[in-house]
Amino acid sequence: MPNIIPPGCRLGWKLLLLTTALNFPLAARADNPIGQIKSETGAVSAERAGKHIDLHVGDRVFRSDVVITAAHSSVGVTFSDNSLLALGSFSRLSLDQFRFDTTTHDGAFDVSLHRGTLAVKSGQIVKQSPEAMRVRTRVAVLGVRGTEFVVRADDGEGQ
Amino acid sequence: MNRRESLLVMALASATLTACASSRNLVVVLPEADGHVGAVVVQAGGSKTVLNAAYAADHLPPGHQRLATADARTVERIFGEALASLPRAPVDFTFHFASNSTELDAAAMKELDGVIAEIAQRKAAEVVITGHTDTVGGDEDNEALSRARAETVRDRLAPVLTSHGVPPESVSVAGRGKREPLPGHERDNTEDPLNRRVVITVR
Repeated sequence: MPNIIPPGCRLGWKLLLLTTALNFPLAARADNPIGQIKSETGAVSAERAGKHIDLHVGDRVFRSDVVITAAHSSVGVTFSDNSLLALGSFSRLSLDQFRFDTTTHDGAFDVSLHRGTLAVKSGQIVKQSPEAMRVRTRVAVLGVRGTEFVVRADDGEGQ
Repeated sequence: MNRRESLLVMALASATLTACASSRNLVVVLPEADGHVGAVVVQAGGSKTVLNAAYAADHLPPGHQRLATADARTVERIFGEALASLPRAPVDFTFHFASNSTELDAAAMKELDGVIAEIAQRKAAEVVITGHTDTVGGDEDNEALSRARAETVRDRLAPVLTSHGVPPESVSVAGRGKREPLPGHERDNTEDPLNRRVVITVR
């Protein structure tokens, strides 16, 4: 095979690099943290992009993370709209959607409590747009008009 | 919800939590520290229930005789662990500006001591610096001005914050323009030194 890269291919590589560079800011934006762990007892972890990682105070959380607590464990998280969430033992919460415009305070915040206990103090997203935060469980959808409430959910597999 | 509706809810709230102990799915609305009570709209199986009284509770999904009132002890028993883990509420500190200026009022710098003290109270403290303008001018100019004020404050405080354990990635800025005038200061196109401010939130 001749060791010559046809000119068209070189152009292709340049285009690929260029489009990668152009796309990178968008990719970076999708990966912005949406919250931070502030308190923790016991064992707290997350499922992120197919991997299981331990979470500790100071760690960031991201959209699509699933936050998990073990027995005798709990975790408290602040989000960038000042929402505060906390989980008790044996809980599993997915952070399905989080959008927040720091200028207008428009946004949306969806989580799913698959099992366990959740305490919520809603933040600026709900203050700006009541019910723009939703908590889903296996059996219901909660529209949050503010501010403090607690939820317990089971996973339907008997406990 | 009007008064009649709230009376109806109270009348319906005859079931007690113990009667529904078999259901693991539960939501309870809590009173806030200032006594205010918010609301949660429960949607399940095509029905919609609004919980908007302190300790109003609902076993999910809502249905026959599930509306109830929880008592503080039951809430503590089931949710005490989660409630104890809620992060401290964010605290705001306000700094004022001269007209059209981004320079910090010297006296306001004293607020900084409060910010530092609040940071010391927290683990993994974050600082959000939010600029506001008075109501003179259009949205776009005011957004830019409010953000410029916030950035000025951030640039000035960054070394101080870093030295108190808040790294640059934990400091963010926002510009709200004239969207959030202080209560009683909402009149449009009005010069108002109280509205020209930067709010530093520690969370």
